[in-house]
Amino acid sequence: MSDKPTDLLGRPVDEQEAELLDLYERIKILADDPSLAPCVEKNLRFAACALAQAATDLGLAFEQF
Amino acid sequence: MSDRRYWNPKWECAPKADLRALQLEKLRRSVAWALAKSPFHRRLYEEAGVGVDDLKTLDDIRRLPFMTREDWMASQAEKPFFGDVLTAPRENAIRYHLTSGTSGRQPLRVLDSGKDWQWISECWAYGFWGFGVRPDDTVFFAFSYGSFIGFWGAHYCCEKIGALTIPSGNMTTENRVRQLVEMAATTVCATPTYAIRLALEAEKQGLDLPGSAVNKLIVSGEPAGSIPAMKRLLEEKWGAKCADTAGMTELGTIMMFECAEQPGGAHIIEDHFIEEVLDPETDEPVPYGEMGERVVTSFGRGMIPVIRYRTKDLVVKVPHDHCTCGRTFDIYEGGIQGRVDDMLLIRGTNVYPRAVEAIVREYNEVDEFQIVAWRREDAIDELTVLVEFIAGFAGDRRSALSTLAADLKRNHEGLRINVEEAPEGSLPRFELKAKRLVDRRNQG
Repeated sequence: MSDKPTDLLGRPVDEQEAELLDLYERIKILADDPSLAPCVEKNLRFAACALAQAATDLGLAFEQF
Repeated sequence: MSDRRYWNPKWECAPKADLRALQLEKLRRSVAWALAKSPFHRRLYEEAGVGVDDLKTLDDIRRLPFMTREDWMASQAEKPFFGDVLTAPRENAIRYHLTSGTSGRQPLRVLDSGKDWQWISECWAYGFWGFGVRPDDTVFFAFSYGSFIGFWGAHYCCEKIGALTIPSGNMTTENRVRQLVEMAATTVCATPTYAIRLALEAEKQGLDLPGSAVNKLIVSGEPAGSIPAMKRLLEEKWGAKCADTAGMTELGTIMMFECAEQPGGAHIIEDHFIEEVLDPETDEPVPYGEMGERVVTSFGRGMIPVIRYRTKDLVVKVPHDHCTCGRTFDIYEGGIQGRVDDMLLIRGTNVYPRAVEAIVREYNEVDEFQIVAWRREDAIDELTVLVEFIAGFAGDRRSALSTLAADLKRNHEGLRINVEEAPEGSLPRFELKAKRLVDRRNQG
């Protein structure tokens, strides 16, 4: 069974898109770390919103938070 | 290498079948989110007995009940200030806005999260990029930056694009005109009405707007931006290309924009919205080319799901291939053509304020106007168009008034419409949405 990421239509994503999705997932996890200083946490959350938008625009992800 | 003519080439030019599949997937996820998080929507869908599993094709959207402004307002009245439409506590929000209240009703109050604001500016970016705004542009916002959401999203979109952005919230009209010329703004954003006012002010100050650096005028907030005569007038006075955009506070952003090809209408941002056009009486879909009411589903506003929202805007949708730009997004021909609740019935004839404006704007000697509906003592309804001429107009006023009256009559099935001159400076001027219709028929 393949665990390669797919887009919202279930199609495999290309290398660049996979990298974007990976970055988005990692930044969300990082931003949830309660030990982060406010200056880090808030900027990561801001960046996560921008990455969420890029991933949504490409049809790779779509979620509300 | 992506095609840099488009903000999002992947979806702006996607095959229609892919676009529809994307919309269905986003619709299912949006309904799931609303059901899980918004008591307002849960109640709506439970009463209708509909859930995510009922959405198997895009046509199944019709199984979802409408969201109406009336229900939304009732929810706000019952649970001030925001009703029970919110999907998250207000602590998640970073901004508060409210509707402009041009229709005289209580304003709607909205909250948006940081993620929502990324999306709000993103939709504007489809439009601004599509009309040619680039990082080397200087964009001047003739906008008050207040509680009305207006051009806020457009401002952030320009920052995202990397253009130099000039806010002018604290400036007078006189200062704005001087500033935008001095700063060599290439793009100006305003409502159509205010763009005219700025141009008249420039003339008064002896500033040469057509000779200035401005080459793009982007308007929003009123249907007038898609009225050909108004657009011609704006382009002539500014010496710039004029593009219309349209949105609403209920969405937080724009859902359509005119591309650089300007096919006589505005593209719908179809990867972020579903726009249905329905017969307002029967709620049945109308085919391409026929006028109906916009019913919008938004995919971007997380804190307030907007799903099958009845806008009361009248539109005519035509296929994407009416434009040669390469986008596969369908088009609203002529932009927003009117409002379902704006129509006046005068002695048996339907009169739409936008149609009146389209005729009045053919007269360059008219500076400002107002449409007044009133009732005679014998209970006959009358319509009077009050007209203010531009300062220093030296032509034959009486002749201009009677020509305009004849024009209005010819375009309204022979209905007599009174046209009268109003004293200079007596009619209201507007910076945000213009309100030129006064209905006095039910006043004692």
